[in-house]
Amino acid sequence: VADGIELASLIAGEKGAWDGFVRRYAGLILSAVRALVREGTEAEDLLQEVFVRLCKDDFRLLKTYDPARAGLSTWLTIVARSTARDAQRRYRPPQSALDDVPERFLAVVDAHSEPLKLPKDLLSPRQQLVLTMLYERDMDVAEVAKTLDVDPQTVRSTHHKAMLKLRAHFGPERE
Amino acid sequence: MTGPIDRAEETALWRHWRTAVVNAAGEAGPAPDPLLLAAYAEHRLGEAAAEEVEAWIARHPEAMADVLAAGDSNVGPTTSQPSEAALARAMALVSDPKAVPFRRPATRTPTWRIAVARVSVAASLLIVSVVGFALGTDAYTSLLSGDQSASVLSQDLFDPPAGIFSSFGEESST
Repeated sequence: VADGIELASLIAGEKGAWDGFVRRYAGLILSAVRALVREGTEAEDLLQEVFVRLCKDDFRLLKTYDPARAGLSTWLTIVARSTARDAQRRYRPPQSALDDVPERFLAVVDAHSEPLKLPKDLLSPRQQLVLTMLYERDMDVAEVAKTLDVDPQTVRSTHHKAMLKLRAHFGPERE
Repeated sequence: MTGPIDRAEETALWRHWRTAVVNAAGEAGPAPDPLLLAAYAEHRLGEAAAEEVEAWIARHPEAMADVLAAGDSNVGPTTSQPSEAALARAMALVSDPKAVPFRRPATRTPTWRIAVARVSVAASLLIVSVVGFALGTDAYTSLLSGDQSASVLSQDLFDPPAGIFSSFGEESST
């Protein structure tokens, strides 16, 4: 049982369990996809696509859910948003911010330039994540700390150490 | 944390790093399993597993929004309410195995009814034939036993006049 839903009945394909599941989680899934697509029919089409994905191939995706590892709402939100992103990639031409495109794809290739030599693991994944949240998602320290479930001071310290490493690495190059 | 000038400098440093990383490594690996991301959003992962997810998220900043949304999904009620049509469409994806689909009952006509129908058609044909024959015979008999005009008529029926040839013969004899 997850969030009051009989998973065994659901996976067994019982109509009553499925209807109850749809009634209970359709709003949550719609909220999750609405953040990524336009209002109206597009969101409801995606809602249907999420349910199709869940029950396709004899509930193959739903069978991968494990209530011991994560809450059903959390898992469904991830599945819904992933479905919405897949749909966006399918129906829309790929677009990316200019800053995200590597310069070698934009500019004329300089025959004399050498690829940057990056020391492996210069930044730890946690440091990269903290910097991503701070500089790409414009989150403040408190939000980052809440998201990562750590103390704000830890975030400041992680950020500081990461910046020291970056300055040390790129400093001589930029001078 | 830092002043505006520092922040601009730090942002530039970060972008420089990201561009270099993307250049050096190309595309990142496949997305983690949704359950792994969900567990990460709920802070249920161990340090090593969390690090792997974080490394992937650092390369895909848009996934951070998904993780944040997933983390907030348990907080407060959802505001979106799908239409009844959308709900019905989703519910229809799973059918009730106990429900018997509507089907017109098979109509098996008994043999005796087929026999009766055929006999009826045969009888109808027979009656029509007999009545037609009787009517025809009556008309013929009444013509034979009728008045003069009737006998002339009947004579004409069996021995018609010569017509144009007979008139030629009469003219040539005169």
